[in-house]
Amino acid sequence: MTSENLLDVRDLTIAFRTPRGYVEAVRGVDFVIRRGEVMSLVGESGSGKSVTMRALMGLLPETTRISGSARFLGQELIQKSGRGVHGLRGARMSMIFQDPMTALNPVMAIGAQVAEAIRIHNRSISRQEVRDRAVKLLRDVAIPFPEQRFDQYPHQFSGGMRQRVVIAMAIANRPDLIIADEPTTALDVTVQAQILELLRNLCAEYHVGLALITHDLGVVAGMAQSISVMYAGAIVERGSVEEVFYNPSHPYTRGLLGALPHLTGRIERLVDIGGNPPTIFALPEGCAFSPRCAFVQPRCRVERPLLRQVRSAYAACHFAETLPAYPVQEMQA
Amino acid sequence: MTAMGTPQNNNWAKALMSHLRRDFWSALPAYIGGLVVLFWIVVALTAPLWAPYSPLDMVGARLQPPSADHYFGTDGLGRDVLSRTLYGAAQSLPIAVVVVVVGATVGAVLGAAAGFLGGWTNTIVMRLVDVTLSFPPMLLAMAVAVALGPGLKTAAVAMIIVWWPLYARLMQSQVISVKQMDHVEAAVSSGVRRFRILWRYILPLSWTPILINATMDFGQVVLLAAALSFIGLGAAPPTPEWGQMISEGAVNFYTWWIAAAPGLAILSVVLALNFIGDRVRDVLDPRSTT
Amino acid sequence: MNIYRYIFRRLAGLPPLLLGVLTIAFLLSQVSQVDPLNSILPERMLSNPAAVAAAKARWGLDKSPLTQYFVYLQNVATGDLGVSFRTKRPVARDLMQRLPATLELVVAALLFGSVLGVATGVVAARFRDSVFDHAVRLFALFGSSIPVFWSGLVFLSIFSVQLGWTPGPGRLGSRTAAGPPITGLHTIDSLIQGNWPMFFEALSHLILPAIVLGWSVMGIISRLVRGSMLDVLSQDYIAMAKAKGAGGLRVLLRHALPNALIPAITVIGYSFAYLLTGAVLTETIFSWPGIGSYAVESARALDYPAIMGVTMLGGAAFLLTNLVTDIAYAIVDPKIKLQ
Repeated sequence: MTSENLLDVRDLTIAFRTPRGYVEAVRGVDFVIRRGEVMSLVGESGSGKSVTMRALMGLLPETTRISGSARFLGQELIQKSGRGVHGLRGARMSMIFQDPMTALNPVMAIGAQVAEAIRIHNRSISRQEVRDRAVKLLRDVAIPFPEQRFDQYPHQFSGGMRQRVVIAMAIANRPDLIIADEPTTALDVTVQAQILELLRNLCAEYHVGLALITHDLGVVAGMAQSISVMYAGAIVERGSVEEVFYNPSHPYTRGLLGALPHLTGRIERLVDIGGNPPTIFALPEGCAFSPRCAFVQPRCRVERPLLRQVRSAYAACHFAETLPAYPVQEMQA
Repeated sequence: MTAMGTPQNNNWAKALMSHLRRDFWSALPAYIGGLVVLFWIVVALTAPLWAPYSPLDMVGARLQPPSADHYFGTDGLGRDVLSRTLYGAAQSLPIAVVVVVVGATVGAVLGAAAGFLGGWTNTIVMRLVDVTLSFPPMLLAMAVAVALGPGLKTAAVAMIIVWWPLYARLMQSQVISVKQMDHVEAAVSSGVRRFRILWRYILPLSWTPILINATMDFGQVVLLAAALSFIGLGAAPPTPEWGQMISEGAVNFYTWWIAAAPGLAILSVVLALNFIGDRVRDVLDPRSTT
Repeated sequence: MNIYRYIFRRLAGLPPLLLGVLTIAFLLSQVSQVDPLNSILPERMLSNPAAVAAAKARWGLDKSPLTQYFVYLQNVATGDLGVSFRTKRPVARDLMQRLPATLELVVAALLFGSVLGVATGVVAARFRDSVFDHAVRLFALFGSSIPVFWSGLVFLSIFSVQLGWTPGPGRLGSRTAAGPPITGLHTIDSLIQGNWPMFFEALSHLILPAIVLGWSVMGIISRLVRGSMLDVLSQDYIAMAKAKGAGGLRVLLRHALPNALIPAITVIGYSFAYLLTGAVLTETIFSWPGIGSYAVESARALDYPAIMGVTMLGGAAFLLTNLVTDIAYAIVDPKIKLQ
């Protein structure tokens, strides 16, 4: 572990309590985020990417079983009681949610919600100072007339403006790490670009680490330095964006890139990969991707592949080196 | 009394059964409730076989506390409280059945007419519903009962007058929403006769919420019927009726046993009905299952 | 659409309903077997032909039912609800004299029921499916299943007769004379006058009936608050508040509760109707000299004008509280979409 590692996640496993007993939604996930780096976490719905990040923020139900390690600024986030983590959450690490329509409290004024983010972590400063700082934050995220809009309620804001408010709360205490859970999925295409631009500038300005959960490989190409691909609760490929995009070692990643439609860059429906992702209730033996894999071998159905170095990246495939050469695709940006 | 159930969940019975099977423990209170209700139905039908004494005759000393001879004591006229309570089931339960069945039928017919015909029928029925629901139920029932003269029958009429608007409002909104469903509009545009549309297309999809609500209202009706008798607007004095018996016991706080048995009887019936209603609500209300 | 237009529209909808309430009352009086003259004239005047003729003329009894209807509306509009058979006094005056006692009881019961209902609903939702959750559900079900005229009796014989913790029935002890009425609510009046012994006496008399009555609505409120709390707690903005670093209590009380209370306002307001129903019975058991016991005494005596007066007053009060509830809802919910 080098000192520049902001977040170091090792063997993170998360199990939910269900009527049929505990079920693992995330299985042995490892990754690292460095200061100032944008790390993207990619995968289909239900692959465990949001669950992983919510676990780090301590947002999962109390009945959830979490094991493994997640060291953030030298502190362990995975603890039996969340007390030690409390001061970090919202101050040193913060989160941006997918749907700005539901992420703001409908009965609290916008300004009060931003001010709360400041006040919780700075009890000593005066009411006026909190208000000034909140107004400045609203200005920083380019909300017009922040003074006037301070006392308005969420329903008086458009989706894009609400997401700016959410971002303002996320940067309120100048965090070291921001987790953005599909920050633009719920927005109009034109607004998406503005919000991404804002996020990119803020990250550069504050030099924060950004964990970007997304469906959108176009967004990954435009913003991230590194990428982790999740499938059925585990990371199947990890590396720099260049390496993984140009030379994907895992058949699933190849499928994702192949499914990249040329106009919108969305991968919500994976037309090129046959079948559906497995449910976490009934994972196949061996490699979880084997039932859908075009290159499947007998070994894949019995032995689960571990994440291992393949060229300059990591992949969890027994036959990563022997797959047919990948046709170099034109990047969409 | 809350409106619930959309036309789409017509297979509610199937959902209910599968839920009851899957979730035995959380459904346990409802099962127990069912047994209690069954018990009282049997008692109402066969009280003479069980009751140790006649409900109307003086069978012991007056105002005796519970003893081996009289498990729940005797009342001010020396009648056996337990026997009167058992016979009382045959008074208190049928009236609730009549009120719920007649109230739901009248309400459903008027509500369906209002929703299906629209126009003036709708306006008149729904205004009547609004005005009737503007009264606190107990006070309206009292006023009707006084106007018609006290007695068990007028109490039943009074309660039907209080209860029908709830079903009318529910049925009207059901029929209107079913009327706008695609297959009904298709039938209308292909020239199916109006009455046939109502009978074959709309009603089969509309009546289940009425049934569900009627089940859940049973407890409230039993309570209101007992309350009217307690006030003296229901069953006339010698008749063993639970609310009436409690009012006899309310005269003196020291002879607590006179009101104990009929009070427990009402509580057990209403609680059992509410256990069942609570379960039905849990299973069918989409909000509570998430 | 703004809030003032909404209030105006709701107010405009009130008179037709009030007229409907009066019409129903009039129709019932037409159905009634009781000679309307009995409700207008004291008994001894009935044998006086001059007085009878005068009364008939004044009430239009010698005219068509339609004319009688308008005369009736006119009389009600001027506050004339007829004379009670039983008390031989104008019904309107009886009602005004009895109103404060009922108001005090109902407000206390609503306070007890909603505070306990909201508190247990919040905790039950927070610890969903725990023992506490099940216990609250059971307690609530008991509250809405138990007949208040019996639970009142049971409470009185346990707490007053056996244990002696609370005084017996009534608003005040038999030897205490109430001071000159200011609001007519003994607890408030004694506080205004700084009469502490009087305040505690009034309060101790109020506690038991308020609990009995409040318990009957507590269940509905508790179940609703629990349900809407569960709804709210699964919302993104709650996760957002936690992500900001807000503590558990702050998330629950500052973020979740206000949102969960918005639907509760409606239920608390509408439960007024149940309280009026329950008050009729509770007042009878506790010898509480309010509208409810007046209604029962009148009903037992078949005192028709009195019972109609109570019904009209109840209807009007019910309509007004529902109106106030809806307006409060519209004001509190900033995101409400008024059609």
